[in-house]
Amino acid sequence: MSALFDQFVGEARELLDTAGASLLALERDPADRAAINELFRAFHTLKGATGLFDMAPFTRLVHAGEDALSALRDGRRRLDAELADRLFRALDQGARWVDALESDGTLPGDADETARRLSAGLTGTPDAAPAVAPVAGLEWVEALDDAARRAAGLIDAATLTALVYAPDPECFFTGDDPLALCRKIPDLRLLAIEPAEPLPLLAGLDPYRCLLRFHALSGAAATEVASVFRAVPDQVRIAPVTLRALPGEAGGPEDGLAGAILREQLRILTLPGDSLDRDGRRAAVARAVANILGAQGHAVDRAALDTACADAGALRRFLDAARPVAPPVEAAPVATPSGRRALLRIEPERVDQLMALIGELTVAKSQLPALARQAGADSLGQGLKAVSARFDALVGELQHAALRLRLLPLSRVFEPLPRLVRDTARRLDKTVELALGGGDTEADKDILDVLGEPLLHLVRNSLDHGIEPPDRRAAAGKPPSGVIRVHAFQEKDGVVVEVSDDGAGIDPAKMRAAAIRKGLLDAAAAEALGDDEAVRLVFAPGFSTASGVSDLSGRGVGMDAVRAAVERAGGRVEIASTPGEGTRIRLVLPLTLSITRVVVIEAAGELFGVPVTLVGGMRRVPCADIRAVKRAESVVLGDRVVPVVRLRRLLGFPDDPRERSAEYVLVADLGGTGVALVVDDVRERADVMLRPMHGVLRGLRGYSGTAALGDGRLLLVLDLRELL
Amino acid sequence: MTQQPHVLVVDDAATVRAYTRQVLESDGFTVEEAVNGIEGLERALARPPDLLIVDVNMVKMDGYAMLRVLRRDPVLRDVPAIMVSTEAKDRDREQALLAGANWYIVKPARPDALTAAARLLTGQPVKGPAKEPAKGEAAP
Repeated sequence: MSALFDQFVGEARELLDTAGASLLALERDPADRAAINELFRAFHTLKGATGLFDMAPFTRLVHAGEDALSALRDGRRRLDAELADRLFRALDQGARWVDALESDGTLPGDADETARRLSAGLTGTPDAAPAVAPVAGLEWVEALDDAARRAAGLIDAATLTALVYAPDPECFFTGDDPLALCRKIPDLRLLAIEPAEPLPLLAGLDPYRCLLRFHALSGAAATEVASVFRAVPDQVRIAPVTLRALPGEAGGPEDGLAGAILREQLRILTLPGDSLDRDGRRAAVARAVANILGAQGHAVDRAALDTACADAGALRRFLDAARPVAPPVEAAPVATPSGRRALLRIEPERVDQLMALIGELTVAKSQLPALARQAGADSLGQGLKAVSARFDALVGELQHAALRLRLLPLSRVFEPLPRLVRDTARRLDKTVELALGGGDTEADKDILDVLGEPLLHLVRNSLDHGIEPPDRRAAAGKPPSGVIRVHAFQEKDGVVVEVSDDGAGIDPAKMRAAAIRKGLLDAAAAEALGDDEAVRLVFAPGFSTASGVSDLSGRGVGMDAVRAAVERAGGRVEIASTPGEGTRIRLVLPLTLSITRVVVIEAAGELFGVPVTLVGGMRRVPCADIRAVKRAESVVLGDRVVPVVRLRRLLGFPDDPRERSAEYVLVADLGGTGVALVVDDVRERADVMLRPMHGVLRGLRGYSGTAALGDGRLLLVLDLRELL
Repeated sequence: MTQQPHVLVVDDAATVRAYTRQVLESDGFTVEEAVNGIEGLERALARPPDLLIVDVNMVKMDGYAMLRVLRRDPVLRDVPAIMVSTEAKDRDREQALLAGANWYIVKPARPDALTAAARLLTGQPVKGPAKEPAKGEAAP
C-alpha cells in the first residue's frame, strides 16, 4: 500500500493548497461561486481520500469542514473572518498531519483531541464522540451479527446513531412509557429489548417495575434522537457509531452480496422515469442479472431474462425459477498489475552525484584535443578530432539535461505568500492586495530553498513597514487598499525576484538620522551618504527602521539576514525607494548553486573565476585615470568614485612588471558603489560546476571553490566578499 | 470470458482511482481511469468496458449525468455500473439507482466489497475461500 500512501500524501497536499487558495479567493469575494465549489470539492475529495486509510481524526476534521462549507454554499451560514480563520486552521492542521503521516506513517497521538477541538470550531458544536471508539453502554453494537448490521444499514462504514436506554425501574409510576418512547425514535433501524438484570422467578416478579433495557440504532442524527429522550437524559446513552465489517466476513463474497445486488435490480425496475430512462435501466439490469447468475454458475436463458426484465414481478419469478447451484471455487487468473505512469521522485543526492560525474566527464574529455594534436593530421588525428567535437556537444547537452532535473517553478516559494498577506493584514488592520507574477519562472531547488525565507521576510516587511494603514493612505490621496507585487523573471545570468509595494517608501533623511542615533555612522559620514546609499542602510547589520517594532518583522531575521542569505548563494540585493510612493527590492540569484556562471580572469599567469552575478561590468581604464591618494587608489566610473583593488596584490602576487597604458578592470557589484578590480586579462564567460575546497585547500580563505573549465584547466573561484 | 474483464473507473480523486485500480488489478481485472463524466463517456465509447465504477461528485459532468447519458446510448446502455459515494443515506442510494447504477457502495469501499461486486457484475467466477490460483492459470 506504500505507493498508494505516497499518492495520498501528494494529493492531500495538492488539495490542501487548492483549498487554501480558494478560501483566500472566497474571502475576497464571498459571492465567488467557483471558489466555494472548488473549496467544497477539495474538502470532499480529501474526506474520501483520508477514509481509505486508518486516520479517523483527519477524516472527521475534513468532514466538519465540508459540513461548514455545505452550510456556506446553501446560504445557511456566512463566511466571516472568524469562520475563515477556523477553516484556515483546519487546513494548516491538515498540512501538519500530512507531514506527520509522511514522516511517521501515522497521525500524532493528540490527533483525536485536536480534531475534536477544531471540528467543534467549524461546526459550532462540540464534535460527537469518536466514531469507532467504544462508548460505555454501547458495546452491544460491536456484538451485532452481520445480518443485523446489514438490516440496519450499518455497513460500509456508514454512521448511525446508537442508543441504550435503561428506564428507571419505577418509571411506570412517573408516567413514562419506554416502548412508546423508543417508537418515536426517528428513522429507527433496529430495536432490541432485553432484561436489564436476570429476571426473577415468576413468583417474585413485580410487574410494576421495569426491568428491561432497550437497544436501538437510528439513521437520524444523535441530536434528533436525543431530543426524543429529553425528559429522561440520565437514563440514555446516545452516540454515533461506525462499524466496519466483522473480521470473519472479509474472506470473500458470498451469496449474501449476490442476493443483495439481485434485490437491488428488482428495485431498479420499480423506479420511475421516462421510457428511455427505463429502457436503459432494464438493459443494464438484464446484463447485470445475467452476469451475477453466470458468476454463480447458473446457466442463463438470456432471451427469457430479457423478457423478464419488463417488470419487477416477472424478474422475481424468473429468479425464483433459477435454482442455485454450488458456486465454482476457482478464482479468476490473477493479472500482473500493469505499469502505471507516475511522477518520478529522485533523492537530491543522486542528482548531485550525477552532476559530479558529469564534472569528471568534462575533465576526462578535455584530454581528447591534446591526443588529437599528438596523433597529427592523419586519419587517426582527424577521427579523434571529430570524436572530441561530438563529445563536447554531448557533454554540454548532458550537463544541461542534468541541470534541468533540478529546476522547479518559483511558484513553490510563492505558495505561502497569499496566506501570509491575508493573516498579517488582518492582524494589522490593513487592506492589502497581493499580486503574484512569473511563478512559472524556473530555478534550481537549492535556489528556491535560499529564496523562501528572504521572500517571506521582504513581504512581511512590506506589510509591516511599507503599506500604511487605510486612514493614512486616504490622507495621502492613495487608494485605501495597498498593493504588494511579487514578480519573478529570468535574466540572462540568473533569476530575479522583485518585491515592490505602493507604501510609504523609505525616507533617506530618516535613515541618516537613525544611523547616527544607532552609532553606525558619525554625522559627517551620514551627511556624505547619497540618498541611494542611505536607503541601502536597511541592509546594514543591526539596523531596523521600525519606529515601533511590531510583533511581525524585527524578529529573528532582519533585512541584513536577507542580504546575507542571498549573497551566500552568489546573488545580490538591490533596493529602490521613493518616499510616499513605495519601495522595490530585487533579489538577483544565479539559476543554480551547482552550476555557476563565471567570468574567467587572469592574474600572474593563473586563472580565476568571479561569479557573473557579482560582475557589474568590465572595461579598460587608462592608467592615468587611476588616482592614488596615499596608498589607496580610486577611479571615477560614470558619476561614482570607485575604490580600485589590484588582484595581484590582493592575492599576494608581485605587481605586473609590464608597462601598459590601460588596465583591465572588472567592476565587482557588492552593493554600494562597488569595487574596481584590476586584473591582468579578462577571458571568456563559462558555466562551471563549483566544487568546495577540499583537503589542504580547505583552509584557504577568499575562495568559494574550484572548478574545471571545459578544456580541463582548473580554476579558482574567488569569494570577493571575503577578499574585499 | 477468456479476456480479463475491463473496468472503467471514473473519479476525480487520484488517490481513489489509484486505490480502486490497485484493488481491481490485483484481482485480475484490467482498469482504465477517467477523471470526470465527459472523459468517462469518451473512454467508454472508445472501448466499451465490462463494468463502470463511477464517483458522484465530479467537475464538468458528475456521475449521475454520466450514467443518464450512458443508459441512453444504444451500445453502452447495458454496461453494469457501480456508483461510489461518501454519502450513506437512502436518498443518495436512490439517486444513484435512478440515474442508472446497478449497485451502490459507500466510500471508503472495502477491497473485498469492490472485488466481490465487480466479479458478480462482470460474471466472473466467485472466489473460493482464500485459495491460490492453480498453476497453469497464470495471467497471459
